[in-house]
Amino acid sequence: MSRTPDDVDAVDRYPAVDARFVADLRAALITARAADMLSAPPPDDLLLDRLIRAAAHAIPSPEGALFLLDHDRNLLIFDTVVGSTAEKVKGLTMPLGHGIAGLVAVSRQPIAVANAQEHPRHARDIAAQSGYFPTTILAVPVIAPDGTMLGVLELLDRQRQPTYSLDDLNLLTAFAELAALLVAQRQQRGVMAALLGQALASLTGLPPETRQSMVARSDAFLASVEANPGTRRTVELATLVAAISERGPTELQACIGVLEVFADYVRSVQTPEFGMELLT
Amino acid sequence: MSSAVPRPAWSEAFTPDVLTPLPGFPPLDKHGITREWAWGGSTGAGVKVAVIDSGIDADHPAIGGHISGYVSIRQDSDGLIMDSTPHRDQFGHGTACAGIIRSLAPECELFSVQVLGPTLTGSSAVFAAGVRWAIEHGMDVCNLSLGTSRREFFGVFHELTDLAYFRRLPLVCAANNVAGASYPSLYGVVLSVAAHDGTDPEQFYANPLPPVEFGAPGIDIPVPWLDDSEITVTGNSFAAPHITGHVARLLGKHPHLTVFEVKTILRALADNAVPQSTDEQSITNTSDTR
Repeated sequence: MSRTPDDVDAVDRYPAVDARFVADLRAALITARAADMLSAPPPDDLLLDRLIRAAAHAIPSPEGALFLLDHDRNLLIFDTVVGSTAEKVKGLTMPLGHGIAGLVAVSRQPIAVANAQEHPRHARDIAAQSGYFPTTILAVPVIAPDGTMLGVLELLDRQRQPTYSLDDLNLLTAFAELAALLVAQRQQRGVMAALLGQALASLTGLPPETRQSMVARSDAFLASVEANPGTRRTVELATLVAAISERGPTELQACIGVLEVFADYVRSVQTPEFGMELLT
Repeated sequence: MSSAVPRPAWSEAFTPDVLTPLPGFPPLDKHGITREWAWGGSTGAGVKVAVIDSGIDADHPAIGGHISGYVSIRQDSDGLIMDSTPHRDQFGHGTACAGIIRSLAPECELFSVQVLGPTLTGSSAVFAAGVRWAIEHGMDVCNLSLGTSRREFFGVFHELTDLAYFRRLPLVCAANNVAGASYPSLYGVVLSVAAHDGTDPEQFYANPLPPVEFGAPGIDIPVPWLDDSEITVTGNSFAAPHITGHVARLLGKHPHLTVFEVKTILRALADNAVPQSTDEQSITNTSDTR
């Protein structure tokens, strides 16, 4: 993020890179950045955190966690955690082979346990790593729309009621469906990023070390674009439009209409460089 | 993709304000069919019950030390591996289901078909192999407190459930309170079960609006678990074994019933079934002679 516009120029001058490609890449990245701001303002991690907090609020529980499956290693990963154990366990892993969360992951069936504290082994999925021994546990599967098992959403220690009820189970399942959509979206973005990286790496017949260098320079280029004051203004503009669009389609349409009229005016009286300055 | 239409939480069908009385039709009502006729005196002896799950701890007091057969199925790069040596429960889930079944049918022959393990490799294929094993090894009733939502297995399980139906093998499946399909619990030829909020193991309901046809206890009920322990749990997983237990008792007394006859009898005996017949003539007399 600390790169300067000089780095952009450096990429521009890189002899192996076609100037037209650089221009196209620049335009695509800026457009994608702006579109991303408009279409999905908060990052996925923040959304997942808010979702679990909302679930823990709706089904009063001091602790909540989203475990994601690592299919290759048969592990569950503490992905998003809220509550007193959050800092301690976030990012930790545990084998799929035991515990309530593991059972839900392999059986795809939600389960609520009422007296876990009497049998710590049943709650060891969290207790072993956090030292927190819950009395009640509610765990539901997180399943992608295509049926792929993504993970487990779990709440601990129901407040105001002695145990988690069937209504709680159904409600948390609804939250899990939302979580599944967010996780699937995040994973798809990861795949897209990897594809872009591969595409960059195989653009030309360059030797591997040169391609690697090019990818590094592309990363630097993206960072510099984000650090560019012009880009920041674009992001501010996108944020503004996003805020207006949240008011409703009528407001968004009015906003677009005003911008189109203004753009027509700008085109009629300014040189093209003005637009480039605004966008870069 | 899952259905665009949200599915209800199936257990809601068995809440008091939703549950409707089921009209009976003579002689297939409580005058014609009684629980005494259906399973009075039956312990499930001679009935082979497959628990397709995480394994069974044979030495748990609720199981009583005897399992009639084992198969553990897993998948590796060479394909499916079937291991018939005795195994233990991986999670406690299978022991819980088996314990519920045995509490209702104490002399049934339990077979542990272990398909849930510490890996997810081929989990749906392993699950399907477990059902096929039960069909091919002469089981009389199967408990399936698990399911898959993978659409590509729709056909596989459709074929298997039809095959079970034709071989007079009731498949008792836990319904899943999750939007979207869960196979095979939503097929018409299986007995699909959700939890109601009662705790009496003898109490069950029939739902006039399937696919989930039966409701049984599954909320805050004590079940056996790992390490000879007992925990209190909630889930449709624990409702299904109650129906499996009833079916085991029923088949212990009437071993030649077909799947649709089993369903019909359970429907007539459900706690929300209302007898309409006043005719003293019942099928009890005729049926008991076979």
